[in-house]
This record gives sequence, C-alpha cells and structure tokens, in this order.
Amino acid sequence: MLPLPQKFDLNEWCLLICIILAFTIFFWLPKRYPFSITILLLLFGPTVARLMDHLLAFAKLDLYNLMDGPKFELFDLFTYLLYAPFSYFFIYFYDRWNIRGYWIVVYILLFSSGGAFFEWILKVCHIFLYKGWILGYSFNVYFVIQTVELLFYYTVRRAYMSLTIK
Amino acid sequence: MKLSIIVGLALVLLISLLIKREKRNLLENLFIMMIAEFLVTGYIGVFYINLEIWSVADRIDLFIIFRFYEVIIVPFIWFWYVNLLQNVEALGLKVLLSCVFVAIQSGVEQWMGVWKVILYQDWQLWQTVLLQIMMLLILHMGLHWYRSILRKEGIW
Repeated sequence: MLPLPQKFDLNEWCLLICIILAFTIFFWLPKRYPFSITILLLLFGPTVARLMDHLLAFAKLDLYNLMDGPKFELFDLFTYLLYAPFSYFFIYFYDRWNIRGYWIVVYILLFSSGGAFFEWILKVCHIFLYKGWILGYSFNVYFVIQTVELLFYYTVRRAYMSLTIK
Repeated sequence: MKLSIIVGLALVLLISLLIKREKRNLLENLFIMMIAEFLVTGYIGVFYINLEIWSVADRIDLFIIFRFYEVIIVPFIWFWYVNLLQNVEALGLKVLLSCVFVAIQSGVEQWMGVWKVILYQDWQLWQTVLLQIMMLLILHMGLHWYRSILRKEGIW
C-alpha cells in the first residue's frame, strides 16, 4: 500500500537526518506545556501539511511531488513527522520570548522566511520536486498557516485554562 | 445542482459546529478533527493514487464535490459521532449509535459512487463498511489515549 523507496539515496538520508535533528532539539528543550497541549501543537503541523499536500500535490492540481514520485509512499508519511516539531518550535519560541504587538508580525515573517529557506534545502535534497510550484508560494502559505497556528494556540490555551480552573 | 447540495451539506455541518450549545472538551474535539483529517486524506490518497481502486471524476464540479466530501463531510460526520457518543450512557445505545454512524458514512460514500464522483474499479460495499469500522476503531483508540492524558492532568 505504501511503497518503500526504490533507491535509498540523498532525499531519504536528508529526511531522516532532519527528523532526528528536529526531535533531538524538541526533547532537549525544557518542557513548557502540559502533554495534552504539546500533542495538539505537534499534530497541527502534520495535519495542515497533509491537507495542503493532498489538495495541491495530487490529482488535478499536481503542483509538486514529494520524495521519489507521484505515488504516496512510506517516506512521504515520514515527511509529516518533520512538520510536528517545527509547529511546536513556532509556538514555543513565540511564548518563551514573550512576543507582543507588532513584533508578532515580524516574528511570523521571520519564521515564514525560515520555513521557506528550510523548504529550499529540502528541495535541493530532492524531497520536494516542484512542477509549477515556486518557493514564494510556500512563504505565503507559511505566513497564513503560522497566523492560524497562533490563533489555534490561543484557543487551546484558553480552553485548557478554563477546564483546569473548573 | 449536485454541487449545491454538497456545499449546502458541508455548510450545515460547519454551521452546526459553530452554534453547538454545549461546550464539550474543545481539546478533545480538536484532537479528533486533526486525526480524522489526517486519516481520511491518507486512505483516500492511497486508494486513488497508489492502489487505483478508486478514481475520481474528471468533471470539475464532481471533483469539487469530492474535495468537499473528503475534507469536510467525512471528518465532520466523525466529529459529530464522537460528540453524540458522549451524551449516551448505555452500552447498547453506544453500539447502536456506532452502527448508525458506520451506516451513514458508508451511505455517503456509496452516494458519491451513485453520483459518479468516485468511480470504483474493484471495490465492494462490504469493503466500505469494513473501512468505516476500522476508522471508528482507530478514532476510539486515539480518543481513549488522549482522554487518559487529560485525566492525568485533572481534566475530564
């Protein structure tokens, strides 16, 4: 059902190294949120990425491929693991640096640029194969999604606080 | 007309979510929605891209219907199932509700088949039912795990 890569080459290695690095940082950072919130923050990235890939990279709008080909393969699934720590880091540093006011826009801009730069590295490693997609679109997508993620975080935090106060 | 019906149905599901009076555990609902979205887009991707046992209509209106079906209708029906299940105490009623929702999901999928939105290559009704039962079981396991975490944190 989910085929293995025919050749275990640059993109597979690059993906595995990135996942290991990202999760090492995730576990190394001091815990900041209750586990129930951490899970939701970790799930946010992969779910949005899955939806975007499903809507943009398959069937009619075949704008890019993941990994070796158009088919949905096992390592495509691993790419979603990579989004989990990044969606967590975005909120973690936002919270830790206590970003407020106009700095929120600057922070989202910087993080979106970082996301687009990281995607460029993944493109160089052949994890993404663009077929009509450009990196500029990715920046815009990151910008919108990270704004939504902030709203998501505030919703989750408010819900958690109201439930624990009860 | 078909597209209008589906857009209407999707809007009803979305609006009913917004005006839902009882504020059940929002954290749990978000968890279920994300898991459902991930699973539904995952298995549909495997079915029509990898295994090619489903294909999707070429006509643009039917294709849009398909997108509404997979991204809004199926996950939201599961969302409603989980929320309604919390209001039921008796085990028998829970089983009955589960059967009703498996039937609803299977019915909606077959409806997509009748409208030629999904074109089945080698797919039978029993496989649809089995698929929905598996979805239900995975969602239950996920929910059970997440609830145990919430309980440890003093919620629920």
